[in-house]
Amino acid sequence: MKVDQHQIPRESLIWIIVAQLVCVSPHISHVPFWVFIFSFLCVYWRWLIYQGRLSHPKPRVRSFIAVICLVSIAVYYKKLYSLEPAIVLLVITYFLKLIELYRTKDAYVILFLSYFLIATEFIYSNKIWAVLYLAISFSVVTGALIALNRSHRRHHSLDTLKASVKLAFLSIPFAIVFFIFFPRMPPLWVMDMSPNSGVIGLGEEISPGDISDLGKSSKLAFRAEFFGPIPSRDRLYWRTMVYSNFDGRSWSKASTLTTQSKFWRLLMKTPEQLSRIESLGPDVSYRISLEPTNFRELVTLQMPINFEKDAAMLTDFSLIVDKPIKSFRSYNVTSTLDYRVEQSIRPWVYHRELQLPNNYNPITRSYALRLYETLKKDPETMIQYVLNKFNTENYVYTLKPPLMGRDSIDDFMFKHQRGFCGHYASAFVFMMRSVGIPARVVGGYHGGEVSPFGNYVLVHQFDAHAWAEVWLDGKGWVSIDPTAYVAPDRIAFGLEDALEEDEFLENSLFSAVKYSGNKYLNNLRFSWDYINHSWNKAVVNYDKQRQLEFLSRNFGLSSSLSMLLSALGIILLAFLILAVYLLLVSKPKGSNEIDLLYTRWCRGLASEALIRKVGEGPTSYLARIKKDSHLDDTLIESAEKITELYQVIQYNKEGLEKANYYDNKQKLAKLIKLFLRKLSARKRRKFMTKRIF
Amino acid sequence: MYGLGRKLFNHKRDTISFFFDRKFSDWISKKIPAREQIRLNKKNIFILPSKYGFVFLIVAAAVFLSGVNYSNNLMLLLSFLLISLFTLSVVFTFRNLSGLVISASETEGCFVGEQAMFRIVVERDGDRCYENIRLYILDTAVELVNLFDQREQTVELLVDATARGYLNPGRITVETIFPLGFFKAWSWIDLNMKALIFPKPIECQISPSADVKSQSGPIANPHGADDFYGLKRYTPGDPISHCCWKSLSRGQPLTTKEFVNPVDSTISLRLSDMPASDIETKLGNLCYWVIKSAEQSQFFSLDLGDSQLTVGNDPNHTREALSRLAFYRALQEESLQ
Repeated sequence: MKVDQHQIPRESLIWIIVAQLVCVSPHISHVPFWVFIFSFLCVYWRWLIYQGRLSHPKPRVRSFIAVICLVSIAVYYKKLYSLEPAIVLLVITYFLKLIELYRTKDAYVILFLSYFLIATEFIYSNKIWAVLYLAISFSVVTGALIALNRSHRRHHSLDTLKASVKLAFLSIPFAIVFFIFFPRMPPLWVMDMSPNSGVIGLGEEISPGDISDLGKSSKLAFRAEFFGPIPSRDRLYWRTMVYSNFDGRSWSKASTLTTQSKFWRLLMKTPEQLSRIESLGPDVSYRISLEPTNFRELVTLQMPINFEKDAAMLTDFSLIVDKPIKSFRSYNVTSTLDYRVEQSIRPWVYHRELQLPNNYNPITRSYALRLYETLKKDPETMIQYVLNKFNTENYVYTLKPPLMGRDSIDDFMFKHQRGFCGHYASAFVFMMRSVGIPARVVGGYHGGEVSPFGNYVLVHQFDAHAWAEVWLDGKGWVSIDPTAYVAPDRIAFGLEDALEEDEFLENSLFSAVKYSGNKYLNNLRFSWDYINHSWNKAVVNYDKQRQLEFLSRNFGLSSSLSMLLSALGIILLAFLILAVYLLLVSKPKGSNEIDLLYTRWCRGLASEALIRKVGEGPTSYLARIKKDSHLDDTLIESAEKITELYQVIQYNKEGLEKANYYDNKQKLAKLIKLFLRKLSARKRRKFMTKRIF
Repeated sequence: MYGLGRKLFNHKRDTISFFFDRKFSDWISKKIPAREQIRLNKKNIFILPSKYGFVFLIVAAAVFLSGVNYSNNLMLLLSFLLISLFTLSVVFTFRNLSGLVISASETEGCFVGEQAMFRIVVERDGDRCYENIRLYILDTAVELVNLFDQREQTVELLVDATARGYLNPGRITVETIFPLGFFKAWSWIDLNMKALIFPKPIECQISPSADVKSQSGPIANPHGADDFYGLKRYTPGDPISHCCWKSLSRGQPLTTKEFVNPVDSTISLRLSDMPASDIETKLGNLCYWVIKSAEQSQFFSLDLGDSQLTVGNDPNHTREALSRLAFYRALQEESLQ
């Protein structure tokens, strides 16, 4: 059977196409649609080539297509050096290569690219189903590699798949050992290329209506695992962003961080800022596992007093890290729930938290001023009065507030009186600032679901919340939640109970959270979340620190070198065991021990230029030995005996008793041993005589 | 024999590479001695990553680096899987060669300029399947072996014959990259095979009739073609052109005309009579005449100066004559003994 060794087998082409489609499938969600149309055209073209209806493109056509693709990517994305265009380029190259797939080399290029494409998917998804994708795509690509190396047409694709799954399964234990023991290292260089996925969450700027949009999303925002008892629900205020600037319509953060050096300055000042928090009650320690947010702020319970070293505390006591959080991140925090913060306010902070644009919301402003006058300019009475007003008057808490005009707070306070937490916090802070009480809007989350499995709280996007902070002389910053006075249920039970019927998650009909009333479904949802949480803890978040904790606790390994060495040691040991098993233990099953003995004898004779021919029976082999060999009579005689005995045992198996069989086997073994010994003695003798003469 | 080493190190035959050739050749013949039957095992199998294996390692490293830089554990897991796969494929590739028994079968000689055939039997010891094993000698065409249901497979390797005498094909390469192509496992085996190569027949015009000697006794060669001898009853297999159609048309049974060569024309072929100047051409001419005589069932004798062959015309005689030509002042003395 002669073949051109560079030609790819026809069967393997199908494998390659399937592998490509499997690998690219999850990229559908973040690659533009035209790329997929293009890819399918490439597959179709290759299929026509396979059927012999079309030829491979000429080099000129190929480079033309490549240029067209590059230009369309550039036009579509405006820039080439960032993650999305890079992945699109990878996908396009990947499929373009298909139509110029002539030789084994090209097939290897495609399949190796496949492995890389699998890797890029993990930038986007670290969810548990990604493992399923990893398993399937890894097996299929490996299967395609096997199919590429097969030359026999007899094969069923199923055989190839079985072989690849077997290889994949055998690789898993090795990979897991590596995963656990291989020392984690910090990034070698800064990767600017990160995904820009449409993350739903808090923004750097809010207008009161924004948070009500979040209220419609059932996406998970973060999980918080407590190291002690979980505090009561009304204390779970997850402080994230502080909005101090008001432009008349929307609130924004006091300062936007632009440079890295500014961040380092803040990091240096963090201990000083921390000293302004005075803890009064017991501390709570917990670990937050934050889903990607696209902003720098960390979510914490108010007020954080101890956190990881790479976070800086701003002057408004929110925590930030150096880069927007674009992938899953987890961190430990300790917070104090009873505190006294910034008792002596610095003048510039005082002024920052008082600024208001003049020409907006005149009605509310004059109303507040009049009220303050009548209340004898006592801030605390003023606060209480406004909160009571929200509580007793006809204010409605709703996810569907009406559209407000230019003076949105006037409209809200005196015209519609319907709004979400953002409206109430914003109106409250506006009134406080109007009368000269420093105040600001705080954005974050409130509450969350306590999981029945594990000591953690799930916080969803619909738990997004806005409340207010007011600075009072002698008390410092005090947190006040106007929503609690409008809709006490929201604080006590959660959004679902606070809203009117059917308002909760009305656009996400299929969200499991919506059906939390169903006990069975709810349990299922919590167990699924628990699996995800454990997955995140064990795999996604197995970083340097966790690895050190885990390995030093269980294996007493504390340095990277010892980890590396033990990883290599275990791998080597497992590899040796496997190799010994595969090469030695899985001995031929087909040939029985008698056959083996006989073959050994034949092999011994082969050195006498007496090779047993293929298909030659023992009798005719014996005849040939007698005729051609120069063996002496005793050897010939024992050759006869051996052949006879072999035939008796081999062809008369049923006739022989079991004990008899063993006796005969022993006898045959002995005869063959003797024969071979004599043969080698004879050879030695011959060699000696040759040397003498 | 030194060809393999030469191919490995250098094509030029300068002194240094020749030195390495010898070293390599000595080493390999010590490590894997020539035998008619060889069982492949850890003693005679070499295994190293192929070029695709190295590329694959680069891909694994790229995935690893992206994993480190994105602090992405799933990427790291994938890179570890890739490395494990690479490591495992050492065992699987080795396993695809180990346990094979390769033995020499018959060889078919030829004339210089043609291709000699070496038949090799690849047999498995046990019921493990073997796939995509390639056998070749230096630059010959590659033969593929797959053992699934059958226990053994015979392959025929064709080697160009360039010189008369015994042709030793050199070491046979048995290699495989199955299943993943990351590693190449191979062995260089010497099955002690040799094929007899006769000189290339070169046509020439001598008139051997000058040497025709008269011979006593009318020995007829019944399968000659020159003179009409008589008719015999047709037996299947007789040449159709010799059938006597005329007698058939007369209603008689089909008969065949018999021809004979006159036995008295015995050719003596002498090396010294050949017209060419150099010895190889002369041998070629002799070879031509030996073959021609054999085809015509002509009795001939051969005189090579050093050795003589008496008159005869049976196939054994022809074969003997041809091998004397092949071995005339043999070029490869070591292969003669």
